Amino acid sequence: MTNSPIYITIADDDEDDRIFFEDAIKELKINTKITMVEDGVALIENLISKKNNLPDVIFLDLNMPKKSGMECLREIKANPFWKNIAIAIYSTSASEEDIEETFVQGANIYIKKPNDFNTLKKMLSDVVTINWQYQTSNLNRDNFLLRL
Amino acid sequence: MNVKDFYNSNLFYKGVFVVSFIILFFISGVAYNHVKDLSKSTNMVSNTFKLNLELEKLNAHIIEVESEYRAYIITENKDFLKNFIAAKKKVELSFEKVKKLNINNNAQKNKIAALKILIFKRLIVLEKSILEIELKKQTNKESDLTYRNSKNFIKTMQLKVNELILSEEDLLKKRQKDYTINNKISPFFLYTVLTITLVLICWTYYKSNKDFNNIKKSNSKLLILNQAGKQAELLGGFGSWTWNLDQNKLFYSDNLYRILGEIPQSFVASNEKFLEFVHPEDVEIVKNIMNKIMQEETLPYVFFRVLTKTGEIKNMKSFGKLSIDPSGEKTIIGYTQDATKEFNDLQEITERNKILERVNQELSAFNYIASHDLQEPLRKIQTFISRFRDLKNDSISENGLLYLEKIENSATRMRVLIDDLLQFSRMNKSVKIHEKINLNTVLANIQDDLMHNIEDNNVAIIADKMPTIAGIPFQVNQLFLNVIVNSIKYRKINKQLKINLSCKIVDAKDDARIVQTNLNKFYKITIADNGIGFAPEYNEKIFVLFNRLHNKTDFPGTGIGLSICRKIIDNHEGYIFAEGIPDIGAVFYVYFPII
Repeated sequence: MTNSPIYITIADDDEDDRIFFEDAIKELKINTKITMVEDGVALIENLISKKNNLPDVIFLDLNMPKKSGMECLREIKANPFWKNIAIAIYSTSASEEDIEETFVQGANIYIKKPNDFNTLKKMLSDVVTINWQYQTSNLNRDNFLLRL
Repeated sequence: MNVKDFYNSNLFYKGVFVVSFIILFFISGVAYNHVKDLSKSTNMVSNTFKLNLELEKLNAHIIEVESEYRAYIITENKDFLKNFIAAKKKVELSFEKVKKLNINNNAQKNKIAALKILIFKRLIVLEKSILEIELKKQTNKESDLTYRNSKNFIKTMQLKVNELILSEEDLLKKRQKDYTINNKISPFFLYTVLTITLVLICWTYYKSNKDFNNIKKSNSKLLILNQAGKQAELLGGFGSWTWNLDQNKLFYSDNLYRILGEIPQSFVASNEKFLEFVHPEDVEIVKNIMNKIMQEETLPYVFFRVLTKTGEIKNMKSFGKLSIDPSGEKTIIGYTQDATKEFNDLQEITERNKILERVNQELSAFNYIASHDLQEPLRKIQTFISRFRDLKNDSISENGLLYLEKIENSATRMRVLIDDLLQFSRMNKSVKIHEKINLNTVLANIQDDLMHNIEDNNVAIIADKMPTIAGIPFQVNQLFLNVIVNSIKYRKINKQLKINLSCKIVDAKDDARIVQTNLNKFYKITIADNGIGFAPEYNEKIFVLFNRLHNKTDFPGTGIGLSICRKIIDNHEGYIFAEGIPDIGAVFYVYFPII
């Protein structure tokens, strides 16, 4: 593990999911700094307030009140300051349309929320430690959806 | 115009008639001339005969005169003198008659004149002699001389008369000769020309008769077509019309009147009259259309409404095309159809489509709920269970652990159900684009995916060479996967499972199971296993949603797998059937159309 922490932001309106996420990260004992937001509007505000301390990776739920994950994704990828942040779609459903749309919009990986805490931990450790530079250059439709 | 066209053309017939007419005219001219010639020569012949006869008479009269004279001289009986004078009168009369005969020939004329002088001189001599005898002046010697001269005179006169008769006969012969020479060729010539003319006239008669018959035939054909057209109009609910643009004359077919709610041909067709039937709101539209027709000489599809006298509103569809006849007259030939039913149907379809769209939206919403909202609480239950398991288990009783396991199993089953249902509903979406799919590759991929399952359960999949079909790849994949997984699931525990796949091409008409299709040929893929099989009465039932033949503990499952197969094959316009024999195995038949 590197000495400098990995900055993670999670945007999810579901409190339980945020707790699972936090617990899993804690148990993984990776040097991370987590920011949690409850909806899309809060996420964008948070990114604006951070200015130069942008996160390394954002876990983005698609179904959120006020501003959906898809809208956030578009805004982030359209902003020259933010477009290099790795975006991991983190959603309950994995419908073809959602996968297709988010891929086209420039998300880096699509994660279907696991239904087992241990799987969640494994997934997080895999995703957080991905070399995003490498992942992005080899991105294609087949490896876009994370298979666990 | 080529030769054949010219041969059949009107102009050709006219030409033949004109030629025939001229020939006939010529022939009658020639014939007239001949008749004229003939009557002329007949005249001449009769003249000749009359002249000859008269000359013979003259001859006789002269002889009479001479003999009466002689008798008088000898007897001096006054009766003879009377006779003499009578005979002399006859001679004069004869000359009168000859004069009347109108002799044209100058030589003959001169000869007659000479004869006349000769005779009259003699008559004078005779009269003088008689006078002198009466006065007793003449001596017997003198009268003797006159008497003796009588013989000579008669001889000379007869010679002259004969000469005249002969030359007249010569003339007649000569004329006859000329006439014969002149007319030797003409009968043959006339006959030939007349024959040709007759042939020509007969031929034109034959041709025109033939044409007339043809016209009769095509006329009866036209009548039949006309009748057929009328019936078609009745059946199709349309009327036809013609609009002669040059004369601005219109004609409506019977059915057009009926569509307008009127008795056929009950009024004279005109645009003004037609506008009376058009729905008031559409009058401007139709007026514009009429103007447009006159300018552009064509009529693309137009729609408008009519309002009949009974107050019925009809939706009309009209269409027309320009037709130019050989004489260059422009006529628009059009059709107007009562499209009310079509219109209403369309409205109904639109209405139904709206309902369908709404239902579809509801279905999509349901899909979303199933995929997202239902999964979310379930996922949490499962995650919490996994978290609960990770707790130190001391505090949970044995029963508690059992219950926990039951909850976990139920949650897993629910997840499978939701996933399967989602998959089933996803098959609803009809993807129209069919790609080429090599079934050999599909089977290889499935075997790859099921590698662990196949190895663990010692399954042998034996497949013949499979064809390439047209379809939706992920659906076709799902279809074969479900059938094979189904076979593996219902294998016999103590026996190696063998799945045999084979394929052949069948004709739709040869296979009783293929019904209601307009496709001809199918790939029939047979998937046979030696598993536990099922009773034949379930051959159809196993494809029904949620239908299961076994309880959950023996064979876990949702009863959706084969329903998905049926749905997929429906999407591909194919068929799937199953045949089971308990304890022997199951056979699945999958039909893919060959396109």
